Amino acid sequence: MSEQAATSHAEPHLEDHAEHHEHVIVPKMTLQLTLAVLVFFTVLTVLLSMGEAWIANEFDIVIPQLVNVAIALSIASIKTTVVVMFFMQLKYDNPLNTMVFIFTVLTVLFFLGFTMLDLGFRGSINRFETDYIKNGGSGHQLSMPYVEDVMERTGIQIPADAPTAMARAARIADPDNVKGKPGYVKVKDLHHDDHDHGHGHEHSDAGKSRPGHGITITALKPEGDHDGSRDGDGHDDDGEH
Amino acid sequence: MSTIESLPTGHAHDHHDASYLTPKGGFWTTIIDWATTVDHKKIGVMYLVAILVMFFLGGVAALAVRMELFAPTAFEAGGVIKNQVLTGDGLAGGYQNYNRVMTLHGLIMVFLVIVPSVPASLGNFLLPLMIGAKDVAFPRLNLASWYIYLFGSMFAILAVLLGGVDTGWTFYTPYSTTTDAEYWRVVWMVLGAFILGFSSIFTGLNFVVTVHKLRAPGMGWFDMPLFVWGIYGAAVIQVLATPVVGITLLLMIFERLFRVGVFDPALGGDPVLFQHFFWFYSHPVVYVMILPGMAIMSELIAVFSRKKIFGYRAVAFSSLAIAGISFIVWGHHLFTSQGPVGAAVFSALTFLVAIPSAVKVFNWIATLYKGSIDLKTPMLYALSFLFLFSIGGLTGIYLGALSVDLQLHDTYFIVAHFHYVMMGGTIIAFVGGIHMWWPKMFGRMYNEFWARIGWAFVFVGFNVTFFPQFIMGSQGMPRRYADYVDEFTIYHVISTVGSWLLLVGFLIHLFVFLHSLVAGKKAPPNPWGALTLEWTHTGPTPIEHNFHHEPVVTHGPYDYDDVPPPQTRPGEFPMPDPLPEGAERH
Amino acid sequence: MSTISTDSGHGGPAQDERPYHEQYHAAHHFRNRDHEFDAVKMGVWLFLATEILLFSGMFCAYAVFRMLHPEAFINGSHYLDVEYGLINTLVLLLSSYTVAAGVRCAQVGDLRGLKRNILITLVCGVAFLAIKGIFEYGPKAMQGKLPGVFFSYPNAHDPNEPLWWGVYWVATGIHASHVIVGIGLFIWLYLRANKKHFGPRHYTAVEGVGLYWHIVDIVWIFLFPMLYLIH
Repeated sequence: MSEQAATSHAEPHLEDHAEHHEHVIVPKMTLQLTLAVLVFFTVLTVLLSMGEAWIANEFDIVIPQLVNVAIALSIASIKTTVVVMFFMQLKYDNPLNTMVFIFTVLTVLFFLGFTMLDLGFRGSINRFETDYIKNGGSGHQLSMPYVEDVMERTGIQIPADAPTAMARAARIADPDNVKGKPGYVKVKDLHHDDHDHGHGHEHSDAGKSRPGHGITITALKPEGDHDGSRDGDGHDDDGEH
Repeated sequence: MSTIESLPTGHAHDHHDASYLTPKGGFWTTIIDWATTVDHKKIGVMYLVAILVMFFLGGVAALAVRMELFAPTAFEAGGVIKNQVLTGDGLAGGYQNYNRVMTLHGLIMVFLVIVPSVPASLGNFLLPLMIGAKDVAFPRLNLASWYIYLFGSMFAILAVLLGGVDTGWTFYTPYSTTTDAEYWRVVWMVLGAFILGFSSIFTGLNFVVTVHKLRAPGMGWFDMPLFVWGIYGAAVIQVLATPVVGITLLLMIFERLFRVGVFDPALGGDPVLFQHFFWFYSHPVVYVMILPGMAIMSELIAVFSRKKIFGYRAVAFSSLAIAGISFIVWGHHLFTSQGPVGAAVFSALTFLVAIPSAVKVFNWIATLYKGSIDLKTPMLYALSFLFLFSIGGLTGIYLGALSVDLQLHDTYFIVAHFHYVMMGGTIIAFVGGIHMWWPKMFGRMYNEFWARIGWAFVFVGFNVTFFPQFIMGSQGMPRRYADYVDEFTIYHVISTVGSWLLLVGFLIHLFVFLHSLVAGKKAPPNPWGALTLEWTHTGPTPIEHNFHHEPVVTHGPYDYDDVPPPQTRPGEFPMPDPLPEGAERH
Repeated sequence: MSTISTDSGHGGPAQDERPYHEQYHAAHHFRNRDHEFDAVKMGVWLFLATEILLFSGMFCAYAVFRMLHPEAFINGSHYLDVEYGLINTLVLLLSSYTVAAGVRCAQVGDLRGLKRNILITLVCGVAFLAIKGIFEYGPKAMQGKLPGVFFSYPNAHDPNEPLWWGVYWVATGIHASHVIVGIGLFIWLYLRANKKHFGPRHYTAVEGVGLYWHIVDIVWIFLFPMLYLIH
C-alpha cells in the first residue's frame, strides 16, 4: 500500500503548486474492448443456460445444478473483474482502493459463507431433528388480500393452506375471473387433479422454458424432504423425479 | 530542546486565532454558526451533548427497570412503571409497559449512546487534531451525519411517544413483524435505527479517509497515537457492517408493511435468517463500541503513567485484528437457534477474539509497570476499565463455549456480561476520556476532588449493580422478565440499590462538569504533560482551523523519556535522569 | 497508455476569468486538488463498499432460500423472460461504457463528448427502467406474481413460490431504486457540464458518479444470472 506516500508531501503546499499526480487516461480502445468482452460473456452465459435446457430436453442429460450455478457465477465474476479493472480503473488507480474492494468482497464472502453453512446444515448432525425442521409455506395465520377479497365477495371459505394453494383456490372461486380482468386465467385450466402429477404444471408459465424432465438435485434439498411431507396438504410434486 | 518544527502554509488569510469556542457574534448568530458549522470540533461537542442527554434518558429507563425489579410483588405487577411512567391496563398492561421501558433502555443505549459515543464525540473532536489535520476529510458529510443522527433520533422518539415498542433492541422476527401493529410503532423505531445507521456509516467513512489521507507530514502509520488506531478499526467496522443492518431493517420494514415473507415461516421464510442478518451487523458493532473505549484506554494509561506504551505495534495491530475477527463470530449470539454445525464453528471462532483483547490488556498492564502513576480521575477510570473489562471479557469466554452458553443463554449472566463489557468497558473509558480531554474541549479544569468522589460512586455502584446479576443468572434468572421467584429477591434488591449508587455517581459528575463550565479554573494548554499533537500544538483550546501551521511530527506520541512535554511549565513534568552510555531504557 | 500530467504554473490573478474547473481550489484542509481528488475517490470507494454490502443481504437471502427451497427457485427463474433480462443487461453494459467514456472525455477536456455520453447514459438508465416496468413488473403484477401475501398467481407449483417473488421484487426493486438515484445524479452532472464545470483538472464528480453507476451495473451483472439463468 502506498500509505507512506502521504508522508512524502512534506513540502509546503502552496496551493496547486505541488500537484504532481498523474491521472491515467484510459485509451478509448481499451474501453471499447472492455465493452466487447462484457457483451461476449453476457451472450455466452445466456447461451450456456439455453444449451443446458436444450441438452436436458434432447438428450435427457441433466447437468447437476451446482455446475450451472458455478458456471454462471464464474462468468459474472469475470465480468465484474473486467468492469472493476477497466471501467472503474482499479488497474491504474491507487492500490488502496483495490484493497477497499477486496476487503469488501471478503466480508461479503464471510457473510454468505457462514450463513449458508449454518442454514444449509442445520439438520445434518442430529438427524432426529430433521423431521421437525419444515420449510415453511404453511400459510398458517396468513391474511392474503386477494384471498380475503374473494371470500368476502363469494362467501366461500377458503381453508388456510400454503399461500400458493390458497391463491389457486381463490382464483377458482372467483366469479370475476372469467371477465378478462387482470390476471385472467381460464378456470378449466385450474381444475386439475392435484395428484395427477404428470399434467399438473402444463398451464404454468414456468413450463415454457423448462426442460421436460426432472432437474431437481436431491442433494441440494434439505434433509427430511424426501418423505414428501413438506407441503401443508401432504402431497408432493413427485412428478418431477 | 525544540523537537517540533512548523512549516508555513499558504493559508494566512484563513487563520482565525480565536478559540473555536469564541462566539461569532450575538446569540442567534452563534446559534446559526453552530448549527451550520463544518468544524469537526463543534460537531464533536454537539454530539457529546446529545449523547450525554441520551445517556441520561437511557439511564432513566434503566432505573425504571430496576425499580420494577426491586419489588415487583409489592405493587400490582408492573405497577411501579405503570403508575409512574406510562399508563396501561391491568396486569398484562403493566408487564407490557415493563417490556417497553426495557426495550427503550436497550435501544437508546445501543443505537443512540454507545455506538456513536466515543467515535462521534471524542473521535470527531480529537482524530484530526491527533494526526495534525485541519479537519476530517469530508466536513460537510460530517455535519450531515450529525443531522441524520438527530433525524433518526426523532423517529425513535416518535415511536416512544406513540407508546414505545416491546420487541427488545434486537427486533427479532416474527415477534416484531406480527405484534403490536398499532400506529406502526415498530416501523418508526426500525426506521429510526435504519437512519441512525447512515449517520454511523458516514462518520466511519469520514474517519477512514481522514486517517489514510490527512496525516501530517512526518506522521507514518506507527507514529499515530493509539487512539487513532482504535478509532480507525472501529470506523472500518462501521463502514463494512452497518450496511447489512440497513438491508436487514429495510427487509423487516417490507416484511412488516407488505408481508414479503423473507423472515416469516408462514410464507416459507426463515426467522433464523433474520438473526444471522441482524447479528452480522450487531456483533461487529459490539467492537465498534469497545474499540474506541480501548482507544481511549491506550492514551489514558500512557499519559498517566508517563511511560512509553508497552508493545505499541501489538496494541495497534490488535485493533485491526479485533476488527477483522469481529466479522466471523456473529453466530455465537444464536447458539440456541442455529444448527449444530454452525454453532460448533462459531463457537470455535469466537475464542479467537480473546487473543487480541488479551494482548491489549496485558500491554496496558505492562505499561503500568514501573511507570510514575498519577491517580487523577481519568487514570482511576482507566484502572477501573482494566478491572471491569477483564471480568467482562473472561465471562465472555464462558459464553463463547457452546455447552456453557446453552445453559446461560438468555439469563441475567448475559446481561451482566455485556454490561461489564459495554458499560464497564466503553462507558467507563468514555467518562475517563471526557475527563482527560475536558480541559482541551472547554478550556477549563474540572474539580479533581469531586470527580474522584463521583468515580468512587460509579465504580462501587457499577459492581454492586451488575455483579449480583452474574450470580442470579448462573442460577437461572431469565433476562427480560418483569417478575421472578422469591429466591432471586436478594440479588435484585442489591442490584437495584447499586443502580442508585450509579445514579449518584453520574449526578456528581454532571455537577462537576457544570461547575467547571461556569466556574472552573482556566486550563493550561497541556495540563497532563502529554505528547500527542492536540496537547502540544494547540493553545488551551484549539483555534478554528486547529493549527497555526501544519505540524510536522518528529517524535512518537509516547516518547515521555526523551521529549519534555511542550506547552508545560519547566519542571512540571520532570524528565528521567539521563542514562549511562550504551544503556537502553525499557 | 497516455497519461496527463496535471502540472500548472498559474499564480491566481485577482480577476480570474478562467473556467470553473481551472480556477477551482481544493477545500482548505487538503494540500491541493489531487490530494482532494484522491481522498474523495477513496471516500467514494468506501461508499461503494457499503453499497456492495447492502446488496449482499439480498444475495445472501437468495442463496439461503435457493438452498432451502430449490424447487421454488427453479420454477421462479422459469417465470422470468430471459430476453428482457438480456436486453436490460446489454443496456446497462452500454451505459457503463458511456460513463467510462464520459470520464475520459472530461479528462481530455472534451466537454461536448462528456455531455453526449452523459445523455446516452441517461437514456440507457431510463430505458432499463422502462423495459423492466413495462415488460416485467407490469405483467407480473397483473398475473399476481407478487411477493408474500399479495401472491395470487393460481398456477404455482411449489408452495414457496411467493418467497421467490419476495426475493425477486425486493432485490430488483432496490436495484431499480439505485438506478433512479443514478439517473438523478446524471441529470445533475449534465447541468454542471452545461455550465462547463468539468475539465482535465477537475472532474471529481464525474468520476464519483461514474463509479457509483458501475457498481449498479455490477449488481445487475450478478442479479441477471442468479434470477434469470440458473434453472
